[in-house]
Amino acid sequence: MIKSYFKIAIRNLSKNRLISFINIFGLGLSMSIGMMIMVRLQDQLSYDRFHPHPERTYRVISGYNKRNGEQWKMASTPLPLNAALVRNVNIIENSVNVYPAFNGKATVAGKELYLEGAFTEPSFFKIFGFSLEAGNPETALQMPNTVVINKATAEKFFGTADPVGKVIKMDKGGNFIITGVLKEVPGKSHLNFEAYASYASVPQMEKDKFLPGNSGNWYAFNSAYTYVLLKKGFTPGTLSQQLKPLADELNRNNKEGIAAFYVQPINKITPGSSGLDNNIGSGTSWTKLYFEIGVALIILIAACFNYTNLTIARALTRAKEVGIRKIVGAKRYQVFVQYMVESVLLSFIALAFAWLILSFIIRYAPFNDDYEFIPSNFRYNSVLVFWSLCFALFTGILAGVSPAWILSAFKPLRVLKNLSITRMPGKLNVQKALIVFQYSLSLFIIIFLFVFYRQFSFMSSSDPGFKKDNIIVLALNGMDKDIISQKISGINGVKSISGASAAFSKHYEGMSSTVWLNNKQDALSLNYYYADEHFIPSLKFTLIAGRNFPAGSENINERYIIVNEKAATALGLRDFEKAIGQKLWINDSTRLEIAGVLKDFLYESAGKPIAPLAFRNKKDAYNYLYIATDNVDKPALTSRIEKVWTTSGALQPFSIAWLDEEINKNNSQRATISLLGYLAFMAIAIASLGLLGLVIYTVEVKRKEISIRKIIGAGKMQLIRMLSQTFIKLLFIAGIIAMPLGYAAGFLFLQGFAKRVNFGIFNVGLCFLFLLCIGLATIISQTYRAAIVNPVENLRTE
Amino acid sequence: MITLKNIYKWFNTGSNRTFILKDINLTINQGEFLSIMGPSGSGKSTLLNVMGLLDEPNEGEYIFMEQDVLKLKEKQRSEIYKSHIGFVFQAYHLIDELTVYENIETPLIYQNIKSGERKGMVAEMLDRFQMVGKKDLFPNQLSGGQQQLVGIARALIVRPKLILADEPTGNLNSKQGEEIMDIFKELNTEGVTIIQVTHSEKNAAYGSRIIHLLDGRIERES
Repeated sequence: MIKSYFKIAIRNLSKNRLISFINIFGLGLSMSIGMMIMVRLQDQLSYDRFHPHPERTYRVISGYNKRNGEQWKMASTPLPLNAALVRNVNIIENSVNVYPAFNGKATVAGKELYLEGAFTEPSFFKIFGFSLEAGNPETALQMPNTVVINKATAEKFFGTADPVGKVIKMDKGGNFIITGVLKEVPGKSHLNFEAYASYASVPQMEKDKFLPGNSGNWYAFNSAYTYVLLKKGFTPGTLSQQLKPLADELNRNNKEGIAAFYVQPINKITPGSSGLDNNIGSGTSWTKLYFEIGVALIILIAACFNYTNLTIARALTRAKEVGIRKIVGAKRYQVFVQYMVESVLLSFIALAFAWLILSFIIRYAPFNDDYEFIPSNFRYNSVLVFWSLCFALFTGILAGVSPAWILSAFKPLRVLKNLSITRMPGKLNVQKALIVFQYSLSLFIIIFLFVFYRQFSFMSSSDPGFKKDNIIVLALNGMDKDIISQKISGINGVKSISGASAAFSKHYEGMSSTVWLNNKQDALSLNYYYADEHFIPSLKFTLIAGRNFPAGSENINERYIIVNEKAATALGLRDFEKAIGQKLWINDSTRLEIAGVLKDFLYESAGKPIAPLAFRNKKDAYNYLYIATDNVDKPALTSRIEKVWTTSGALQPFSIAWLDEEINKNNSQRATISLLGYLAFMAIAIASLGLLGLVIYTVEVKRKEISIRKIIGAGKMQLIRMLSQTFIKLLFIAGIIAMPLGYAAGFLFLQGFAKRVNFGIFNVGLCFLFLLCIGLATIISQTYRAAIVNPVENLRTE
Repeated sequence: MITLKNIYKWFNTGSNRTFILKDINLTINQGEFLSIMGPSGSGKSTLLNVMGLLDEPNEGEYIFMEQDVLKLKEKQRSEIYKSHIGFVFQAYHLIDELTVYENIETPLIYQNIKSGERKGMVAEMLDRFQMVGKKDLFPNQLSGGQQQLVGIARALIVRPKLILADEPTGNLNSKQGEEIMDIFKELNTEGVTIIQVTHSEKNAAYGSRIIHLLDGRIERES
């Protein structure tokens, strides 16, 4: 029987190709959103799955209730807890604390980077699934002032050279010897620090005042994270019991509040609960995930609702079939199942379409920039396929249940005798309100998208204040600057080469430091790049006062600094000529002379106000080469440079970019525009499909009326107008609702920008016109067909 | 087989009550071939639908195969017509999406008959109406007469005791009509009870008994 259901379903789908296409398209689009959320969900649920004993590994978390009623629940714990656990709790095999205070500027052989790290103990490698690519995990973190770094950091500092045994100088904390390099983990973890230094370093650093004295402080609940590995056969309940005396001890000496310790399984850390403070890692919380799931569901329901409407609307044409089936012996459930099979089948085809869309989204990552909307480490897997099949089944049932129920309830005699009086149950007002809502939402999104797009294309076309054309940015990746510069400079088409410490990017990625002129109280935070003497002339920055770094100045002790207008003004040097020669303190230790003042230029996303910036000049601090070229064949030139790069014996990866393209990319907000565009497209598609359903239904119901009118003399145009009127009115209502809202949203959005594009009523009207055209096309496609049909066909009922 | 006692059917328009069927008393025995005649609006089709359990009278008693069917629940009633009654319509009412073969097979599917058995039954039916060569065509590829043959085959496939035909030849030319009537005659001799509604004296004459309706009453019987 199922086989025959399938056969009929397939024939029906292929017979009404347009309707099937519309349904598959609408459902598929909305399902693609659901699947993106599934991919994200799967990613979030993949955290911390690679540890050796997940069933016995727990994090201790803490709670604190103040007497005045304030309550906290924290993922963090006081530092002394770990030692106390070792002393007092006998059911743990191992424990470790992770103290995320190993932060700040790190320098290796003149190269500076910000490090985000933590202090931890050798047991770290026993409890967690982390392992070392180089170095011995047993001893790597035993001695004070030792550190292991992750692979990315190792590459940034040393390229392909072996980092073990080298020294990192921390701005706050002295020298650390690198004793290991972390292997890339086989999954994601909430622990994703760039470096782990030995906990044994902490006491001395506290003495030297590099760290606050937290190691003995039981009330600094926010300082560290404590993890335990239970002995086999013990439950977390027992651990909780044994933690209680520790908390009781604390509470005896404290009148202000009550502390408590709890345990949390390691695999429950990500996605976290939003009630837990001090959580670490890049994972999200269940609250956000539920919100995403909610949005996906709403979109899905909207699409299902359209399917339902369209199917019921068309039910009139299928009523006869139901009637016959019932008369020849079908029971209600048999008819019901048949229509369910049809909608489920349709939803599986829509699933295939959704997979197609998803595969493009995964491949081309149109919604990713700094923030990865779709995780870039995504791999196709059978679990996702399984859940997507369940999802399709669910969608099919959701979309099909109500038309199947209504169709299967038809009384055979009634539908066979009098097709034209069969009415859809329920009021059409609901559907009309829904159409207005869907179109308002679509228009709102379109208007906002239009503002957004225009603002960012305006910004990306604006002049950054320096020469950005024909400049190659080449990452050194640890390669020696002088050697490679010399080789590249000989290449045909290269005009000049300069070095700088960072690449211009959307968010500032250079260093910053507190600086002051004479009085430390007036210190301000100053961003700076290191740049060599060729950098300023080669990129044509405008000097409004003073001069460039003198030739060869980087070879002697650092002496000069060049600041931008903002920095000079912020330092109180309004007369730029007088600024030249002033001495600037940097971090107590260094004093530099202002050599020049540069006209302000955009070194971050154009949307941000320009912040004080300086160029410093120091040998070995350069990570990027800026190569000015002639206006030549770009691919040919880059391949020539690549050839030089590889033949010079470099093992480092070759990564190259054109400055103008990078700047455009940083300013264009491509990912957000794509995502908004996709949402707008979907909103319009779903709204139009809904409208289409309603129009088809109305035309179907009025078939007889149309024919009679035609016979008594109504013209084509009059009929189209009569049939279309109501719906066009709906479109205008949507316009009246959404235009002011969209305009207001756009206006508010633009307030956030220093330079903004003109956006007036005219543009809003243009958006409305666009949507109106789509709506009209939808309406008239149906009403026109109804108006030209031969009236005799509809009146011949017997 | 069928006994109708004091059957009334009406609808109310404002304060007026319009009768469609008025005090119908009728007994039909197994094996009869009854023709119902009468002008448009005389209640022929309604009477047929009442007898086919597709419609209910407002008043009266209806005994079908020794069962007082009006006292039964809707579900039980539909069970009865599904297993004992075959319908033939003026407009054929075939399912457009199904082939000839599948149209005939559909009632069997709904009765959960196994596929092997179904095949045999449908083949037999196709054979009988000489439509084996057309079994894979869709209804719109057939002439009216052929469509009606499929309609009859579909009605017969469940081996009903009673066939109700509402103007079965109304959309056919006279030659096709004759063929259909011959088939009915032949079925009747095989023992199937047939009740048909018709406008045509000639077709009515195929029946063993004719009743004439006028304004919802049985005016005369011949």
